[in-house]
Amino acid sequence: MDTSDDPITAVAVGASVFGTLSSAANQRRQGREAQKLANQRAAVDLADAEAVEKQTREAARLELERGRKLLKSQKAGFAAGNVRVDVGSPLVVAAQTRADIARDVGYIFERGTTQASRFRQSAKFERKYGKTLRTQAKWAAVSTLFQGFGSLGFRAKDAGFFKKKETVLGEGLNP
Amino acid sequence: MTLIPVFQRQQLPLGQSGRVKPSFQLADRSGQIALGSQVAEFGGAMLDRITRAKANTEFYRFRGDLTKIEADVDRWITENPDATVEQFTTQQNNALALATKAGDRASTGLARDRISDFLEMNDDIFRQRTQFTYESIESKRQFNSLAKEREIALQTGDYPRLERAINDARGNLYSDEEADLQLELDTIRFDKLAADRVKQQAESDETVRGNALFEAAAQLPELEGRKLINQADDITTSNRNAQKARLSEHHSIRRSVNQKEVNTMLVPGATVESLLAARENLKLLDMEPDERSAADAQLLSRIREIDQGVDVFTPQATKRRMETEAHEVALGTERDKEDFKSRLHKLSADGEISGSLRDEWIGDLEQDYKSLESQLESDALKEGSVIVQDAFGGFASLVELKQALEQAGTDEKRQEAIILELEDKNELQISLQRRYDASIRKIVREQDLGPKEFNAAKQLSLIHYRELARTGVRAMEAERALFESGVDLTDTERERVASLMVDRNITTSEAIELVETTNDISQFKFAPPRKIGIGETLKRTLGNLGSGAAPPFGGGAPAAKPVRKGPIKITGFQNGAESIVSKTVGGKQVEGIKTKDGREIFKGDEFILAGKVWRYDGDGKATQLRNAPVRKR
Repeated sequence: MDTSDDPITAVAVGASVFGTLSSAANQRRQGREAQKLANQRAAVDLADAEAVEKQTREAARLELERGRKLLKSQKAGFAAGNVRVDVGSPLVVAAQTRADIARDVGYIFERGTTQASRFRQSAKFERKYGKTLRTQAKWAAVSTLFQGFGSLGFRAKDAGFFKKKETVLGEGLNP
Repeated sequence: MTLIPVFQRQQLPLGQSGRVKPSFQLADRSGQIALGSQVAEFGGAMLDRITRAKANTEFYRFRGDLTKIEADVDRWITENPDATVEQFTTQQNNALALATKAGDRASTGLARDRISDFLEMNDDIFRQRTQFTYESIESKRQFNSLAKEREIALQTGDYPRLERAINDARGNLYSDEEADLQLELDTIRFDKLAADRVKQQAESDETVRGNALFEAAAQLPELEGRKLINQADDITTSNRNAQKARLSEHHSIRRSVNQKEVNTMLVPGATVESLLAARENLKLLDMEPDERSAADAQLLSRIREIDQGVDVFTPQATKRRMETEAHEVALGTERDKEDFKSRLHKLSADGEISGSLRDEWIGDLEQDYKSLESQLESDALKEGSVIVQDAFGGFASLVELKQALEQAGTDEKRQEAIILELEDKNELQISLQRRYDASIRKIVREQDLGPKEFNAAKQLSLIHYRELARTGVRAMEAERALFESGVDLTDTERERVASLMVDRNITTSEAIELVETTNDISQFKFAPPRKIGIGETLKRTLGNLGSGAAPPFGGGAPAAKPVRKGPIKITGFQNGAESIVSKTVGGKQVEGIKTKDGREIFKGDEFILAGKVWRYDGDGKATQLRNAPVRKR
């Protein structure tokens, strides 16, 4: 019986083909899933960035509110002391207070923007890493297929799968 | 002014989303990947293994084909010793092409690669080997041709041809030195052969002269022929003596032939006419005158006797005739012998033979009869012995058995059991053997039978004892099977049930069932003893054995165990080992044994053991007296 007709050989070849394909398919799937996970991780970063921005805006608004109240309180104090509030020192004090309030609000925004930016950058890197993982898995699958089928091909050749069937001539010293 | 407090907000929203980043481990499928790799690896390994096995098979098949191809080339070389180098090279190439083709038959690439490498490496070796065979055959052929040429030259005495043949081989088959040596040797042989040829020629001449002389002498009467040979002067003395011996032999043969012819003429019952015709025929015989006249005188004398009414049955002729008859009688019946004796008495009374001759013949006949009888008896005893031994399986002697058991390390109890069983068998065999021998001797001594009758009796006896032996063995085997089955039976009961098993041809389990369903074992109807024993059968068959004589074999009922003769050594009781006891009777110490169940047995006491009645003889020995009575359950 020819090797290629042998059922055990067919089982061996089948196992080899199945194993290679299964291995490659799993590598591809692992890549796809890794990218999905990376995207999810990026989404978390983006959500964090938005939360920071929201917090920053609210903090700035509260700071502005506090400043405005302080200014009114200063004005009311000057007025109660019979000091004219529209000329001289009261104006200087008010200007100084407004400048301090603006500086504090500025710092609040700066800190929030920086934090949000960090989160957005992280989201970007996560997405990029996910893409890299998927590409990596794809090439690993290709490599597995190449190695598996290449090896199988050599073995099949050794086993005589690619040999042409020949008709054996009669015996004798004069062919 | 009333101060109305206003709520001062201090809380801020969360600075993070509250979601957790999932780990990349969640996408890990390395297990599945590894499984796939392993399956692929396993498949590959399996394929490798199958391929290797197939490739090995194919490679060794190729080696077989190659061996055959090589053998074919060798055979071709042997069958074609005159083949040219070109033909041989063609064959070599053909063989290699065939080998390549045989290699192409391999289906696996592995085998094909191996074969290809093998052919690559062995191509030159193959060529060299076949070349060597070819050259050795070729040089052998050339040596053969040279040897033939040399032989022709030697045999024909052609020395130049011999010289030429050896010189042609010089530098080719022979080195110079070898050629010189061969020529020297052949020259010696050549000279010797030449001398032999001269000698043979001389001897041949001598032989021719001797033969011619013998032929001439044979034509003459013996004396004249010898004279002729003696007078010849051209032959050697040894040749002369040889020719004289040939002449003597020639005349001796002639005389012997003539005497036979004359004896034929003188046969008893010859008439005067036949004797006269014989006298005429004498002239045709190659006789010398004195021989012829002597023969003629014999014929004339017989004619005269017939004329004078003398009985031509001379005592010598009668003796010859009677001797022939006596031989036949000796193989016949007793009655034939008696008839023959009475005829001798009648011949003697009629004066045809003398009384002394008659007594001499009767004596010879009786002696022949006796020796034949003893021969037949001895043969019959041997045959019987073989048959009885065969029935018992031809076991080894007890001494050998004991030695074998000891060597095998069998424990003592088992040894004893085996030996006891074999002793029983041996006993039965010996008993049957004795009975058979006695019956044969009885036939011989008392019945006075002739050989034919004796043979008939012997055959009947053999059949009878063969059956007895088989029955005995079957009964013993049945008894042992019953014993091993553990059924509670006394020894005698066991013997009887075993006998029943043999008679009814039932199995052990059937017998046990029968015993267990029957309350009283004595109700069993055992097979009755045979009505007709062998003696009776023999008597009826032969009829003339004498009505008053007792049957030689003593009737039927053979299967019962015979009574043992002589004392035996008691080696043990069924209920345990014995101890020695003693008592004083009339002031005398009497020795005895005590069994474990408390029985005390003293010298002279009878006791029952193994279904037999014994008498204790002292010193641990007892004599078997008879079978024990059957004990009711």
